[in-house]
Amino acid sequence: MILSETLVPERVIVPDNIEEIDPALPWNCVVWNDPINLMVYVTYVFQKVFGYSKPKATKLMLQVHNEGRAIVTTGPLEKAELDAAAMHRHGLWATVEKAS
Amino acid sequence: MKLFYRRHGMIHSRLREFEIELLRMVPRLIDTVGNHGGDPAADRLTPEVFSGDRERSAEYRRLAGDLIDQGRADDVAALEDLIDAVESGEPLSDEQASGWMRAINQARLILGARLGIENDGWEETGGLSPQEPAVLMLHLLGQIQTHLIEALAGGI
Repeated sequence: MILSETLVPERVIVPDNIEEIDPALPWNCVVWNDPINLMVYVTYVFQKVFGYSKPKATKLMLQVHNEGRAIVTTGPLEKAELDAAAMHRHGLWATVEKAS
Repeated sequence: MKLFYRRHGMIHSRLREFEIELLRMVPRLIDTVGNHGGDPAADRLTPEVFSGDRERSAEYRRLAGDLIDQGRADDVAALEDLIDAVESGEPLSDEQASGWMRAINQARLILGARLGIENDGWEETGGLSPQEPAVLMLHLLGQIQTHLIEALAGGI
């Protein structure tokens, strides 16, 4: 059919890593469980660094402990990276990932 | 007995001689951290921030690494510079005590990585001898850190 031959491109170019073209998309800072950091320490760091209430900080700490990870902040890429740096400064295991 | 307590906005300590000596070892321990790939402690202190994306993680490390390293060095300096004063009864400000807290944490992470601790429950499973100096140090530093955090948390 001529119509489809006209409209269907021979090749579709898809960026290898679509996140790199829009740094404003929401990103997560994720903290992972580790066997050394004390629960009281992780809770205190969440309170101090992010200004979270003790109940919210405790809930996130328990999520990290029980589920292996928790999203602690969401926002632009630059903020997620800064938050991860603050976590690393405190020795917490943090990564940055695109919010799904 | 709590090893630290808050009074008039400052953190005071009741550290005993063996705890002071243990804390004096913290900067020396941190100073032994080697390079990535050769020392599990180095890998633990600087994890890959974009999981599975080494190039992007390296770029992040290039931009943020110096700041993180300088902050950690400041924490160690706070401990090293003030340990004599604390031993003689001087209190710490919250900022100084926070530096101690993070320096102690660095030391615990280094010990944990070198002991090969990877899972929760390592305290109970019996795989590590509690008499081993590194394990004992890990426990004692954890106790000191807990009391320090409790005193700091009173100031939030």
